[in-house]
Amino acid sequence: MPSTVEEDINIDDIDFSDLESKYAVQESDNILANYVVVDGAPIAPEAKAEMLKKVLNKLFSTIGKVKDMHMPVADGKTKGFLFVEYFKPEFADAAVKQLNGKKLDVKHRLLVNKLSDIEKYAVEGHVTDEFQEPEIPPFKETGYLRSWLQDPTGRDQFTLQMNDVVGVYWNKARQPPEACVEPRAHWTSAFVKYSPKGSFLFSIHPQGVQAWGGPDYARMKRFAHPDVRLIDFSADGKFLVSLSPSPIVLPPEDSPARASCPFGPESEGHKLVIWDLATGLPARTFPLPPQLEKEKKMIWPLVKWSYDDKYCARIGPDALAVYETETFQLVDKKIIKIEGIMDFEWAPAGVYLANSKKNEPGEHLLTYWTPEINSNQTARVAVMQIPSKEVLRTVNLFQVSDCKLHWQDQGKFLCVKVDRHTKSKKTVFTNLEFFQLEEKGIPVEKLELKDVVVNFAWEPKGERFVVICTVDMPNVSAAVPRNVVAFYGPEIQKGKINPQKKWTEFKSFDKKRSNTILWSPKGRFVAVATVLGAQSSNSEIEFFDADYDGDKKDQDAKINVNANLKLVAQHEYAGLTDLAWDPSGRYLAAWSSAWRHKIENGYRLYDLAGHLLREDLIDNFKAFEWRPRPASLLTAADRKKVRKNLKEYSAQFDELDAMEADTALRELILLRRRLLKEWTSWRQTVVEKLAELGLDQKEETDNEEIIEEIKEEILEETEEVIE
Amino acid sequence: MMRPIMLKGHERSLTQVKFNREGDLLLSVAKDRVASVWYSSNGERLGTFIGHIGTIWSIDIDPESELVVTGSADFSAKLWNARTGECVHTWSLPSPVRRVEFNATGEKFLMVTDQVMKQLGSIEVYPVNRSGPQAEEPMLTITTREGFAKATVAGWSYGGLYIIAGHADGTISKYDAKTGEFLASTKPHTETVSDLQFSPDGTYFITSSRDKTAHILDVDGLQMLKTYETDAPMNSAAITPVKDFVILGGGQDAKDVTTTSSKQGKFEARFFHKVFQDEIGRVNGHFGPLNYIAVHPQGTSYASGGEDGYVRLHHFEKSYFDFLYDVERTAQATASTQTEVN
Amino acid sequence: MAEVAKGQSWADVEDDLPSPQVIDNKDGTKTVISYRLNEAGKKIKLTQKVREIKVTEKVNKGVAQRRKWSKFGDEKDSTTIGPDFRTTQVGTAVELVLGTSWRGEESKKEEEKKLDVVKATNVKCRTCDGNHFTSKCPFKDTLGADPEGSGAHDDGGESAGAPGAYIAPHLRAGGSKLGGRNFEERDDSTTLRVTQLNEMVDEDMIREELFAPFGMLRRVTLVRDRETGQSKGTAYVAYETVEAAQKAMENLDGRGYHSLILRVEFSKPRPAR
Repeated sequence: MPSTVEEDINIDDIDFSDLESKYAVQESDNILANYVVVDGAPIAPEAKAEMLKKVLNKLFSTIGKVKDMHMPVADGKTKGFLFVEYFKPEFADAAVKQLNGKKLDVKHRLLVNKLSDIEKYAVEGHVTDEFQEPEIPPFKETGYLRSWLQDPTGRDQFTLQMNDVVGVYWNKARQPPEACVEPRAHWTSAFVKYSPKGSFLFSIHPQGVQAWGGPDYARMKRFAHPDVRLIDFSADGKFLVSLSPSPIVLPPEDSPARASCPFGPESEGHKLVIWDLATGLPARTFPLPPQLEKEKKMIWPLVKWSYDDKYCARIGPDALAVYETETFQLVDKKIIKIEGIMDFEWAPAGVYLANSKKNEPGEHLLTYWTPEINSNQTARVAVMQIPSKEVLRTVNLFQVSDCKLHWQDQGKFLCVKVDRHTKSKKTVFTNLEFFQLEEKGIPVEKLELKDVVVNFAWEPKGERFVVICTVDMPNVSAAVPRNVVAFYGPEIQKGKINPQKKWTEFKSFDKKRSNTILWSPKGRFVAVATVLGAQSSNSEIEFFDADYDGDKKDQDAKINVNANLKLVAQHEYAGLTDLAWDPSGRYLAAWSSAWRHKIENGYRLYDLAGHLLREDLIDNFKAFEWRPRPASLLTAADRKKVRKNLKEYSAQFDELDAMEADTALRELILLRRRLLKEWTSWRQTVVEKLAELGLDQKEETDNEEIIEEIKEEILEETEEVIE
Repeated sequence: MMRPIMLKGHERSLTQVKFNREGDLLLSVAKDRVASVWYSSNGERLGTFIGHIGTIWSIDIDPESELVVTGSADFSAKLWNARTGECVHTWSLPSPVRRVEFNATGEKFLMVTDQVMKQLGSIEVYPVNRSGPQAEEPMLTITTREGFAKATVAGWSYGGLYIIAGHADGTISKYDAKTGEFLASTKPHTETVSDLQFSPDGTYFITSSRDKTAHILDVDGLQMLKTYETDAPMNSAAITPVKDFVILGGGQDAKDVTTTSSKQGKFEARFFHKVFQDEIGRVNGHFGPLNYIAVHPQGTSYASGGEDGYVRLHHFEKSYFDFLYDVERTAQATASTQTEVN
Repeated sequence: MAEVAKGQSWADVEDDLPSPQVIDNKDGTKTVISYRLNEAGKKIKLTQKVREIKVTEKVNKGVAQRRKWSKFGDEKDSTTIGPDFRTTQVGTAVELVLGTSWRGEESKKEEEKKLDVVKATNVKCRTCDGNHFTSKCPFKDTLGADPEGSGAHDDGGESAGAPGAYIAPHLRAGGSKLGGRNFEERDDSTTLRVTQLNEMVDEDMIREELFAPFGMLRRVTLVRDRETGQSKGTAYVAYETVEAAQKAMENLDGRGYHSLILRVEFSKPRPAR
């Protein structure tokens, strides 16, 4: 039977198209992949074609061995394009990556494309000629991103992170904080962080970073950066910087995931991403500098920003790369070569140099330092102007171990903390070099100290600062407190402060363990703390008022500084690991984070005078973060008005506070009533049940007796410490 | 000001302290292998029970204050004459005994035996014979159920109807005390249940745990009625008669604390309001974690046994009995006016 | 036993605290001097003047019966009537302030206490009761201090010559028990010293993972740093029998445990202090 069937079938009737397509040899694709098309080559007379070919061959051979090169010639001239064939498609890919845009000479810039791409996009019919309107997702209302600023009582928000939960709360001073949104479990896999102006809260996830905002903390944006570890923000909050230990991997070209991947092929293998917060797209990506790949502790931030986000800069080996953020191209398309550059800092505000126009935004300045190089170049600190790259001031330094660059927040002063050693390198001490940026010629004042400064902090919007020094006591046990906390201000000469300032110490406290200085963001008040270090078991916080108006000033004739310092409060806090002022400078939060240890985890809230308002011990408490505020929109006149009528304003708030306290109390009382009622009624049912079972406790008919007993009574007691 | 009486008869960490029914005697056991009995009114030591050769984990005295039972790490439990200190009987067991407790009538007692090597832990009930020799074999054995962690503590509920056990993984389980039948379980804790003490009427109990919390649960439903949160692992919790308080004791283990300040170690007895769950006070004095808290049955004093080797016996003062929440005061006033009307 | 400072095992407490003393005063009261270490590790001397008082109480019959029981066990030979200082001591007063804001109350009290301490440690002149050292007394010559007489009294009887005052612990009734106990019981022949332990190994691991299988253990003590509570890598393990200890040593010496090679040997007797 089968034979007859066979005969009946006409071979032409069988449709082999499925098999044909399955087994078709896609030769053309494979071969095309080895070719690149080069445009923009010089158009040369035929006689010079060989010469040109040679030059180009040499260039393209830097990628891989060139199999063949075809340069069409017509009308006695080359046509300005050519085809290069490699042995492997990888070389063709690499040629596109590395040579596309390559300048051959001033006039000629090569455009290198893969031949297969030309096939794909340029050949008629492969890509439709008609414009297809891109699909724009419907606009989603985000809610007012600054709604929290409209709180009628002007309260600040903060986040509390404990166990796996993050909650956002209103600060209610002595009262328990009020949740703004329901605390969320697993809101982040590591930590949460507000943007510098408080508009967004960022959470970290294995897939990347998410931004939350609006009154309900709704999800605003996703920034896909797998395994992201560290994030940072530009100074003005326009950009987000994220770093991941995993290099960016692009989905395969034909995968649908490629279309939604925010990164282009140029980002492949990069680890550092700068995101534009407005668009949610990467603005620029960088590979991690090779010298940092092996670092156990990452230097962070890797990108630093000018005060207005106009420029950003990264440090490289013997160079500084400054980008302007419009295009993220290098300023002047060049990096700045600085041999041995160790560190740099942007001025945190526009700087008004002596010759700057007062009604224009201030100058963009940055400062950097370089160590001694061999024996022929001294260590240097320099102040540079951007974008001119002009070095405005340099100071040469000798026997330098380390430098730290401390800008005053308005950019008026720069203090360079120079740790120096003696020739024998046995003793280390600190010099402070003060650059006075607003004075003509940028005078530099030197303050020489005997000891090593371990911490330094300028008063915000002020001219005073606090330092913590460690006194070198080689033969004394490490347990002995040896830090000195010292307060400095510009000296008053003949009743006024000389424009060229000379800083002098006006108060100091020795035998301290303090290691942390935190000025209130509004100045005047400063918290100096001993944050749990390796050995300090007696952590504490001290509150200072630099302009105390209670007592008369210490009439110390010699020291003439605009200040009256008073230690207003001192608190032990055994668990202390971190502290932070609220944006208004009214409250200081201090906490003990379970990330550091398991002692007294929780947080405390103090007012600026150091009164303890609240303490909350929370098991596995991790972090506290205040929501930052953008700069105030009030004019100087508005502010003056508020200050004038402060009494009336404060009376209103006193009333509110009292009412607030009452409602809280009322709620608490209601809760307790309910609990007591529930308990009593439950007990009643239990007692009835026991009675039914005959198990109720019977009163014992008493048979009592009188006994005599000897007891000890303490008449006197003294305790003394024996050395 | 309260002047505690320090009982210094032990040379090593205390493991349990316990009052008899009238509260005039206080028993204490420690890792030093000797049990002590004290007059609770003045701290005078009446005697010691000598015979164990390992840590004594647990002790109890029968309601008539005639017999004392002890459970030890030396793989034995002993029955003693409370009046003479003589050992009446010794049970040799295949594993250490972690907990012993007489039932309310003193007719029997339970013991919690530890899990060692291949020996599964169990709760065993032995009859007590007041006139003849003691039975060698238990009248009831509740072996650790499959899928359950070993029991660490156990006790008798109201009427001796149920046995409630606490387990190493934070589970609480309930058994019929006659048949040993498993009735229910719940898991209020995330770490070892370190102690389980009943209310005076045996209808509810408090559990403490290394997970830094204590809970009150009811016997009938094993419902979690109350929660007390602390910042250190808890070793013991007791319910106070008369006042609606609970007392918790514990502290960071020496190895988890980095400094020698006792403040950081949290070596304080913590008082919570039983109903409102607020912490309302602390008593310090111990130099190491508190291993056990026992409250006088009339609610007039409490004793704490410490890792530091001391028992501290505190007699409450007037202010303790006077303390009431405003809400309680109001409720009492309302109740008394109502009774007057009736 | 000496008071154990936290973070320290009972075994490595240095016996450097002086033994407590009881002095019978002429008026029938007693002066009790005891020592302890405070939280900061400083030695504190506590002097208490104690009077024994008789109290009558109305109690349940059973309780009254039990009051008449004779003592037994370690207390069998005790002749003391009432609490014995060796085992019972009235402690320093502690405060229990009940309230939802107890934390605030406590810190307030603490500050007051600090002030009290300052007062208590104030210097008192033996000559004129003034607020200065005796040697600096302006009336030294006029009032004529008698260092022998009044001095001995004020020192709380520390000068040994005072009649009927101080009895060394080992001479007191029952004292040998107290003083000698440590030496009698510390039989080191069954004790092994284990060294080169990984710092992460704790007592339970030593007990359960290493030594339990070889016999009944008497005690396991891991030496820890007094300040930090960190293991010092050495432990003492005591068995009930020498055989068990021998067996454990043979099996465990040289064995690897948590990436270190254990060294197990018999503990050498401590040199007598």
